[in-house]
Amino acid sequence: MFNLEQAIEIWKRQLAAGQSINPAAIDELESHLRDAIECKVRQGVGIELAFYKSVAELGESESLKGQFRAAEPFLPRRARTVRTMAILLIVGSAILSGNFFSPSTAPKIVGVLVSIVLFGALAAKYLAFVRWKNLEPDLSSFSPMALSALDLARTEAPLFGHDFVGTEHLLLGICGQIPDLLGRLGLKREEIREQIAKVVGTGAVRQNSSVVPFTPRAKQAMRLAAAEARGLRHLRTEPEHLFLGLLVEPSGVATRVLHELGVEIKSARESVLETLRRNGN
Amino acid sequence: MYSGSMLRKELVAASAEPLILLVLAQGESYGYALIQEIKARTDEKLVWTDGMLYPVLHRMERKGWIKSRWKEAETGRKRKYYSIKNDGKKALKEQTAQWSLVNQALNGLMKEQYV
Repeated sequence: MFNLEQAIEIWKRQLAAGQSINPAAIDELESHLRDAIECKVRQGVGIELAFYKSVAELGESESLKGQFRAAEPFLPRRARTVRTMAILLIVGSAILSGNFFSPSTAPKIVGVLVSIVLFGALAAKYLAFVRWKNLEPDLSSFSPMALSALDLARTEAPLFGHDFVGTEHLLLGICGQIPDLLGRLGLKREEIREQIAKVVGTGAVRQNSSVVPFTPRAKQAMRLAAAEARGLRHLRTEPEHLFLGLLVEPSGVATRVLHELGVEIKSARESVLETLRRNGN
Repeated sequence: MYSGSMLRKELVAASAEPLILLVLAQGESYGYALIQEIKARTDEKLVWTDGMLYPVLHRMERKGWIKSRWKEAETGRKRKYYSIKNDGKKALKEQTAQWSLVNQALNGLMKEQYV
């Protein structure tokens, strides 16, 4: 059965893939799409046909992305930070070294001051980026089950002798909270544990109860989970959304572990999305 | 189906800016409504893929010709509304003058053809 929200979500993902279009522009395109669909539906067109016609009118994904890439190139945050830092570094160094060739003192002082400002800006930019990366994810939308999954994940890390709670521990936490996910993936907890140990290695098992911090990737997965829930218009972020958030990072340990164990990431994703839609909040 | 009055891509691209400015000069509007208006006024002869509109809008916003704001409808849906700025009105005057010039030149030369 055709589900409009789901279809729009898939369409948005297609546009976002490749990062050619910035997120604000995607929001604008979505708003346009919904207007177009509404208009057709009011004229008596069936909703599924309205959707496909409106998508066609907006333009085929690849050509849209091409137009945006040419007209307003979008750099994701990491690339932008690197670019700004590089510029500041080069200009700062140029001024600083140019200083040594200056004959009189006054321009020398000015030059040094300018360099200090530029290097200061460089450091500030870097710190802002690090802070953004480590930003505590907003857990207010997390359901009690999702929070338990996070707690479970926290207990898993010390069992491996790991100093941080990463995506792999989140995976175990989620599987602990929704046992039939394991069945659907065709895996056993022990298999996952073994694979994690193979991929990441283990340290001495710790018994202490000091709080183990989350890795930036794990925090990102939590942020993505909340975004998934919002995108699907669910009230709470559930462990299933957390699982979807994990899958987004292809280079995260969780995805690698699942891949090594023979899980097809795309179909795992589809399967979990199906459950979420069927249970729909 | 093709009556011969579908315009060349270059003409469509070049006329996008003045057309949008003309519609916005009459009042604030949002993406979907803008394109419907243009399609209606030009008898659907200017055929765009709707998505092409947005890079043009964003470019004009960067040039300072138009400004935008997000507004929330009662249904809770958000829409980005655009309105023309003074610089945009000036640009519109210039561009329509240029199109007139081209039009006059073409008309003049065409008359000569038949003399």
